[in-house]
Amino acid sequence: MMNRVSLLLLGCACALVAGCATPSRPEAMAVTPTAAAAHKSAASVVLDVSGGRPTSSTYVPQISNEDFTAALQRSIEQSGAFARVSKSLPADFRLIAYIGQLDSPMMGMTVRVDMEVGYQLIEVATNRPVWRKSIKTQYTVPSDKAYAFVDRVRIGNEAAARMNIEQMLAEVAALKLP
Amino acid sequence: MQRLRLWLIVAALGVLAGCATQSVSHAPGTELGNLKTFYVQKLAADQRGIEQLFVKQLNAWGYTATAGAAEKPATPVDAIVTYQDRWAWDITMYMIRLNVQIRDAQTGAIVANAESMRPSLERRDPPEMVKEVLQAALKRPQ
Repeated sequence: MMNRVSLLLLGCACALVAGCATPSRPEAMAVTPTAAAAHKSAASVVLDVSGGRPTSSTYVPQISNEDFTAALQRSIEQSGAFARVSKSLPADFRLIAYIGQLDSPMMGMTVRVDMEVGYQLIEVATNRPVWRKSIKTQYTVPSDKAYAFVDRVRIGNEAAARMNIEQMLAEVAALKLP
Repeated sequence: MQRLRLWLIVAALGVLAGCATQSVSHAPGTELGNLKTFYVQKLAADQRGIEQLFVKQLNAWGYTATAGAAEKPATPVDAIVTYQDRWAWDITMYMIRLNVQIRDAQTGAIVANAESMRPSLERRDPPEMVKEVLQAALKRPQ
């Protein structure tokens, strides 16, 4: 009887140690270096991200504001969508991104992540929004992609974020900003 | 050996108990004071009638709320409410997590988002979880 209890306790302890959630990585959320923007603006942009959450090791992986900002910056620089990403004003445009939804299951083999980000591109000189859109993306991670559940959630978060940024860049390129 | 057993018990409790967490965020520039009428969009997978709990709570606070399976309401409203409920088993089924999004009825964009996560030992009835997330999303006093 005691051996069985010990085994159960050991199992729980292993779950605690092995199943720690790790945050989504900016480099995995950024678009690939080969994804050049269809139109490259000569303007500068400053980023303003909210709605993200830091990852707690005992909960499912999340996307923090800092990591999503880093992924956006990396994507803009690699695609050339804007000439420069400023850390703060002055800049020609302000890109506001609000992470309104990042939903994943609490457990399971196949993991589906739904993400929704509300974007606004503001022309700083006039304080006028030139583009506004809520972009939804979804990614399903198969069970054989990673052994640990929390790793599958993290992979799903990263893919959903990458697809979201890709769509945003495509829409911004279509504006053909000077 | 006794120390190892004690550590294992603590670790096991950590896995089984967890902590209740609440989170909320609002889109920049959101004005919630103008929202008076709501439409709760029933989640397709919801067989428990959670959408009616949202309607009941909103009506109890004096808002006008209706619910339906359609993406948009038949009559214009100020905001659309969407939600995702997650359930777990521990002796009985219980709601472990509830997420709610308040959306601008015109654009569909999310203006507020709240979550309540309650593991087994801190479980609450669904109506209380609904009240908790709406309170946070709509910035209502406790």
